[in-house]
Parts: sequence; C-alpha cells; structure tokens
Amino acid sequence: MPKYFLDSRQNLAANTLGDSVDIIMRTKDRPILLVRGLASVISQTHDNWHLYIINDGGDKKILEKTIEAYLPSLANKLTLISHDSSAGMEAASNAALSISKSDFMVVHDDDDSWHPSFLSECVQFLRKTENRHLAGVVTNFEVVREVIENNKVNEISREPRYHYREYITYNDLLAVNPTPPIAFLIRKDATDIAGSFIENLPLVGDWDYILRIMQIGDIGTVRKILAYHHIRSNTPDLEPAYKNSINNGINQNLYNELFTNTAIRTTLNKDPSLIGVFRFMALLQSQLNLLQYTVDTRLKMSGQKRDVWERIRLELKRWQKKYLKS
Amino acid sequence: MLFANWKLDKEWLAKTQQLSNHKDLVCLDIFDTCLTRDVDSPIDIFAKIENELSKRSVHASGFAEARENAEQTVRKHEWMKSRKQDITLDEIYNHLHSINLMPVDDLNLAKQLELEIEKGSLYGVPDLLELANYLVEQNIRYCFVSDMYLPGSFLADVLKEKGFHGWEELIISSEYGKTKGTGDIWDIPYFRGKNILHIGDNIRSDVNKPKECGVETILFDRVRSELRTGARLTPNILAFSQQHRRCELQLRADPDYRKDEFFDQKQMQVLGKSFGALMLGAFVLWLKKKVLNHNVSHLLFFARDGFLPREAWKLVKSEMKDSDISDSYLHVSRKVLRLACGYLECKPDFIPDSLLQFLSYFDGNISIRDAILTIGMDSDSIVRKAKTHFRNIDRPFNWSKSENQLKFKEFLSKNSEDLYEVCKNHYMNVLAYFKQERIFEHKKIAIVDTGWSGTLQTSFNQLCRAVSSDFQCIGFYYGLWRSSLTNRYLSGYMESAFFNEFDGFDDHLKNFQGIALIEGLNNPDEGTTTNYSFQNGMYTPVCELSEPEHHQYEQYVRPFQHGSLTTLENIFKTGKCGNLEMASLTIDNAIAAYRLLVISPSNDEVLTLTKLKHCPTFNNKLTAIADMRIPSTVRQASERSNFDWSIGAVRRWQILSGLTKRSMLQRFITSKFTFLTNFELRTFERD
Repeated sequence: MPKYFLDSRQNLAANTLGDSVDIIMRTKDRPILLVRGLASVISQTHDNWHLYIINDGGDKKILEKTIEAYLPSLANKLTLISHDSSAGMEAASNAALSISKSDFMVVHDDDDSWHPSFLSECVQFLRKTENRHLAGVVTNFEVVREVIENNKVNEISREPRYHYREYITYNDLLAVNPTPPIAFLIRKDATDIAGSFIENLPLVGDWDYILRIMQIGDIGTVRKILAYHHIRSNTPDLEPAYKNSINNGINQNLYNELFTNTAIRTTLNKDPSLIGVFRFMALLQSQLNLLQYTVDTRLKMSGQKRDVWERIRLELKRWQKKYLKS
Repeated sequence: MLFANWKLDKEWLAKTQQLSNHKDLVCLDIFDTCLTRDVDSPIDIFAKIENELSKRSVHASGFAEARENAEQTVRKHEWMKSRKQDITLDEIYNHLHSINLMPVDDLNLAKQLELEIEKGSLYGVPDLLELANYLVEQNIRYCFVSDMYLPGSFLADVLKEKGFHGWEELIISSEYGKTKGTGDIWDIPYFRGKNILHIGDNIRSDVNKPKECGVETILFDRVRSELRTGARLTPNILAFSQQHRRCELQLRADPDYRKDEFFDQKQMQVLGKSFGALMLGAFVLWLKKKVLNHNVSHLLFFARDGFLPREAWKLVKSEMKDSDISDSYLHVSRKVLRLACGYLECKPDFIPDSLLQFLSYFDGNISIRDAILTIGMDSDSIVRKAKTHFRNIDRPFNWSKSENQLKFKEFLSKNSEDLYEVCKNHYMNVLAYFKQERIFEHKKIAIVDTGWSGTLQTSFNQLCRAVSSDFQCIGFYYGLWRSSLTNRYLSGYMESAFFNEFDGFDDHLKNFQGIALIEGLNNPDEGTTTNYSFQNGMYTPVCELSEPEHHQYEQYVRPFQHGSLTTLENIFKTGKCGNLEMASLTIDNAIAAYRLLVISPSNDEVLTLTKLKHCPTFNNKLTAIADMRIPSTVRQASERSNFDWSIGAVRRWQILSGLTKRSMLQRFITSKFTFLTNFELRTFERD
C-alpha cells in the first residue's frame, strides 16, 4: 500500500496465514432448499472448511432426516446446533460465530448456493501478500429467481450483479447493501473485532455487519460470478418457511429507514456538531429530487418522450463512471 | 520409445532423395519435421515447466498460461513497434520480468528449465535422420530453417544430440526477424540464386509460401502436432498430452496409416488409450472413494451409459480384496421408468401434463404411427382413432412445431384410458423385474450412470418407494447439470465427478459439447430397453438395437472401449501403461482431457468423431452429433450448428471448405461461441 494511506487493518490482531473457513448455514423447516445448500458446500474445490448448521427452531427430526444422506460427505466437518424455538437469523449466526475458530468466516444461507470455486478463489485472494490488508472479500453474484412446485425448485431467470471497482467503497455501502452474505468471505480476526450480529434486526443485519467490517478494514472484490443468491417468487401456495425474508411480510423500507436513523443518531450522539454535514447532505438530496421532478414535469409538458430523461440519466451515469475511474 | 516400431516411409524417402539430387540446397524445417516433441501440442511444454517449478517448491501456479500470453503479447508488440516478424526467448522472459510474474531468481530458473525441458522432450524423426544422412553421403548441401524463438546455438546442440550432422547453416527466424510464414526468409542473401528444395510439415509456411517464392517443396506431415487450446494450460493437461502423443505416433508408425481401411477404428483406439482411459480410470477411482465413504453395499450400473463404467469397475473391484460391495447392471431406460412412474401419477381419465410433455417430443420427423407404436399404444383401435384424429398417420410429422406437439398431447389426453393401461403394464413389469434383480434386498444402493438431470434417479426412487416406503438410493455420476437442482430433493443424494450443477454458465456450455460423445462411447452393443417380457419364469429386458447403431458400435465404440479397458487393465496390474500411471488418473486430469478433446479436437479427430450419431429422445432414433452439410451463409451455419457438438461441426466445415468460406465461418464463430475464451477460440485459427 502507498505510505500515505493508513493501514486499514491496523486494529486487527494478526495476519492469518491459514486457509480454514467456517461456514454458517442458517435454516428452519426448508428441506427442499437445504439439500441444495448442502450440495453447494460439498461441491467446493477448497476442502478446508467446517460447516455449522444452525436450526433456528425448526423441526429437528426432519432436519436430521434431510441431512442423513449427506453425512458421509460431511464427516468431521459438521457441527449441528439446534435452537428449540426461533431466535431469528442473526441470533442463529451468533450461535455459530461464538464458537467459530477458523481463519475465515462466511454465512451460507440454506437457500443460496456457490460456484464450486467460491471458497478457493476467495481464500487465495485474501491470502495473497498484497491483499493482507483486507478484512474481507466479495464476489460478483447472480440473483436466481425461482418457484417451488410439487417439491421441485424450478429456475425462472438469472441476473448477474457486478462489482466494478477493486474495493467496496463507502459510497457503495452507505446507500444500499451491495452484497448478500453468500458472496462475502470475512477474515475471522475482523469478525472478532466486529463482534456479534445485532439480533433485533430481522432484515438489515447483514448490511449492518458489512458496515461494521468496513470500519475495521477494506473489502476487496473478486470480479467473477462465484455466488448465487436465490429468490423465490411469492406464489400463493408457497409455504411461509420457503419465502425469502425480504418477501416474508416484513417491511424492508421501514427497516432501512430505522437503520439509517439509528446510524445517524449514534454518530450525532458522539459528535453533535456533525449535524451540519448531515443537513448539507439532506439539502443536496432534496435539490436532486427537485431537479428530477422539474425535468420530468417539463418533459411531460413539452410532450417529449419519457426516454429522453432516461438518456440524460444514462449519460450522467456514464460520465460519473468515467469521472470515478479517472 | 516415442518411435518404437516406427517404419521409414521408403516411398517418400526415395522421392525426396531423387529430387534432392538436382538441387543446390535442401532446407529442412526443424519442429515437427526433423525433431518432434513428446507432447500433444507444442505449448504443452510450458505446462511441463510449471510442473517442474512446482516440484522444486517454486510457487508457479499460472506460469504456463502467463508464458504463453507473454509470447503472444511480445509478438504483437514487436510487430506493431518495428514490423519484426519473430521474437526471441530473451524478449519473452524480459516481458515476464516486466509484469512481475514471479521473483527474478525463479524466473531465471524457469528460463533455464525451458531450455532443458525442450531438449529432453525433443526426439529426432527417423525418416529425416535417414534423409540427412543421405544428403551428407551424397555431398548435397543442406541447412535447417525454422520459425522459432529459441536461440540458434541451442537448436544446433539439440540437433547434434539427436543425431543430425553435416549441415551448412541454421536459419532461425528470430535471429533474422523474417519468417517462413510470410515468405520473407527466402529473400535473405544465403538463399538468393539457389535452386532449393524445402521440406516441412506446415501446408502454409512450408509448402504454399515457399512455392510463391520460387522454392520447390515437399510436405512431410507424419509427425505433425496440432495446437490444442481447449483446456487451461496447467500441468493437468500433461497426462492426456503425453499419452495421446505417444499413442498417436504409434498409430502413425506405419507410413500408410491414412490409407488403412481401419483408420477410423485405430483412431478410436488411440482415443480410448488416452482420453478414454483417463476419463474412465479417474471416474472409477473417484467412485471407489465415494462408495467406501458412503458405505454403499450395492452398485447399480444403469443401462446403457453405465456399461463401460461397470467394465472398468470390475478392474477396480478385483483390487479390493476384502470388499463385499456387490454390483449389477440394470436394464432401464428413460421411457420405461417414465411410463412406469406415469402409473403412479395417472388416472384412466387424467394424464398429467409432465407425462404428456415427455411423450410428445420426438427427434426428427417420425410419423404418428411410429410415435404411438414407440409409446406402446399399438392396439388396432388406437391406430383407427389416430387415423381419425390426424387423417394421415404415416407421413413425416414435424415434432419441433409446438402446434403439432399440442395436437399429439390432445390425442393422448383423449385416449387416456389406453395410455393408462400402457403405464400400468410398464409399472407391473418394471417392479417385477426390480424384484427379480433383488433391488429391495440391499442395505444401501447407489446408482452409477453418466448423469445430467437426475431424472432417472428421481423416477427410480419414486417407483421403489411404491414397494418399500423408506427406500432411498443415492447416485454417482459423470456430471450433473443445473437442471438437476430442480430434482435434488426428490432424487435423493447425488454427486458428480466431472461437471457440477453449480458450474458457471460458460462452463456448462463447454461441458455440454461432448455429452453426446460420452454417452455414445459408453454404450454396449445393445439397444435401449423398451419393456420386459416374461419367459420361462423370468423377466427379460426387451432391447431394440437398430442396424446403424450396431454398425456404429463395431466401427467406433468397440475399438474405443477396447483401448480404454486394456490400458486401464495394464495400469491396475502393472502400475503403468505408456505414459499413464495410477497417479495420472485424477479428476482434474480427466476434465482437462475432456476439454482438450471436445473443444480443440485435431483435424483427424474431427473427421472421425463427427461421423458418430446418438439418440437424444426416447424413441431410439439415431441423430448426427454434428451437421455434415457445409453452410454457405452465416444464417445457414447458425441453423446447422444446433447439434450437440457444434464445435466439432464448425471445425469440420473449416477443414472441408478450406479457404473459400473462411471469412464467413469466422464471422459465425465470433457470434456463436461467445462462451469460449480467446485462448479457446484459437482452436478455430488452425491451418
């Protein structure tokens, strides 16, 4: 790293040289998806991993029967933790995190999956000398849309999601969560500092966690599609257990707003003078909104087609990209 | 050893000697003419270097690819900078230094190893050694001329060591900055005014270009190797590369090998000894590990693709002395299992759409009569009803049209009672056959098959659960597609050796290229199972073997299987066969071999393998794996490339159409094969 940048990992205890990975898989009454998740883990070309399956209050017998055929491939590599009642996704993650001992950690939800070389590429990337300063790495991923019918999971479509930069920036991270947990491998010594997932955040817990990891060190990118984030269509007969959390009756916007407010409140509590900065940013945002509204209205009034605005937006985006690159 | 049993091509030698007598100078190309390597493709040497560096504890992962890329980059750069036609080894390694590929000492070691490994991998070609001796005896002046980046002094040492002597000059393109490829080398002072005969292996740079420059030429392509870029350039390619080169040169030991009426069979045997043995050996060793790990008590090799793996398994089993794992070959097919399962899903007045869909897709244009007979609805009344529904049931029916499929589905739905009876008959027969084969008596069963979507395992489990509700078998396969994820919960545990359901889309498309080949080459000389007959108190599978299928087996499949199995038998008995040994039989080596063959086949392999046919639908009708008709337009090429092995088809068109359609095909290749990397696309750039 050039000397004028501070070592982003200066707070970290040690530079890990090992390649062991703890995989945290949270599940609850979803055998149809769980078998795919298990197959995804077993198919990894990187062999040095340990799987923690956290049963978040689901039927224990069904879970044991589901994983029975997979046990020979998981021998000495599986820890099964069962909660008698559901404590939520983040509490499930914490149950594994508290006993995790490996060099790296990743959350692999039971409904997501990996390319066979996800672990090998990410571990290799973080072990490179030039990447020792990174706290974690994210990869490109595909959003896989699917439906469940007659106990079969039918894929509908795939959309790629790309990272264009070498690192995740605060710019990327503050507006939206740029990655699902399935595409994010973290150094264990970074999670040791970040601590537990916040258990009362049912939707944005992953986002909060990646922000906290960013506070500890930079996050690099492997720009290959190595993870698959699966989203089920909300068909009328889909059992609630199989719904994605964002589709499961929880108002995501509400949690996004509360999450943002909490973050700003914490900052202002520490340094009330920052209210000026936040006010400036809020004004900027409202000016942008007004500009968009004005252009929209004028175009409408002048009978111009809607796509003119689209063209302006694309031009702005292109310019922004060019500017950021340079 | 590379030239064991090699016979000199006396006819070629006599002709060449006679021509030489009247020349001022004879020029000999060096690589693949006077000297040849023990690897299948010239760039495989870089994988050897990477391998050697790793053995010496140098972190060399990616070296071979970087070395090849460096050569390409420096070539382009030097051409752009100073129109230099060839480059030197120093320039290539200077570039590797400039990109900080590895520490300086390691890179210097790599450069030194490159020379050592080149020397160790090169062999003198007997025919050319004979010719060189003749030229010296007859006092005919001769020289070497080569398009090469290696230093002349090094090549002189190698030529001497391999038995050449008495030459006058060694003209190396990198030292003159001019090549045979452009023809400019013939303009250097040394060649001016001389009556020259040039001998080489490359039709463009050793025959056509020199001719344009007034040089008489003779082609010698008996030891010619071709560039293969189908797999990543890593040490994993070496097992195939060295074994295949060895077997290929054994095939060419007879000078008239191309005129041999059994050329195709011999070619298939070579592929069996190299590619086949690697795939099959790696698979059964992987299977052994899995079977022991999962505590499997019985292996069920499914007809027909499980035939060859079972033959190889017998070899592995003979090594497992205290093993009590039993195995059997089960005659099943998509058709019988699907129809039998249909009985569990149908009612006399209801047929589910999934079954109708399965029964309403046939390959080609088979008639309605043939379709209903294939399904097994062969009563007179059904035939009459079909005549009423379709009017003419004997004319070819276009099954790819959705409205035709709908019409056929409608007919089946209308006659659901008859279809229900067909399903019931299959269900009864299948279960009786399973009981006879003692399927339900084993503690833990695993299916072995080539795989792909897990549908056979899903149907098999579904049927067996009708007899024993807690029945659960697992499956081990060559490969699984993404579509198998649909069935994973219903099918039970599945694992694959070579291709994975989580692979990326581009990998999926690459792997798909050779599926029809693999299936066809694993089959026995028997047709698909259509039903079971009860004779003498036994259920016997009824198999339909067509004459073309039998012919294909004898001509192509048998030699391939024989080559694969004899090689494996030798490895299991003696630890080695040719260049293959037990340690070579790994999954990574097998995947590399598969990619090398299906993405970058040699010209001979293309011309032989594209003759193979396979059966994509359940009606057992053979279809070509590649369209043989050479297209005239990009649109035609696009229509004709929708066959299983599209790369094979396009390569065939390139070989047979020569230069005439090169630019059209090149345009088509760019748009069609977007899933190939630039390195892999070089397979279409051969002469």
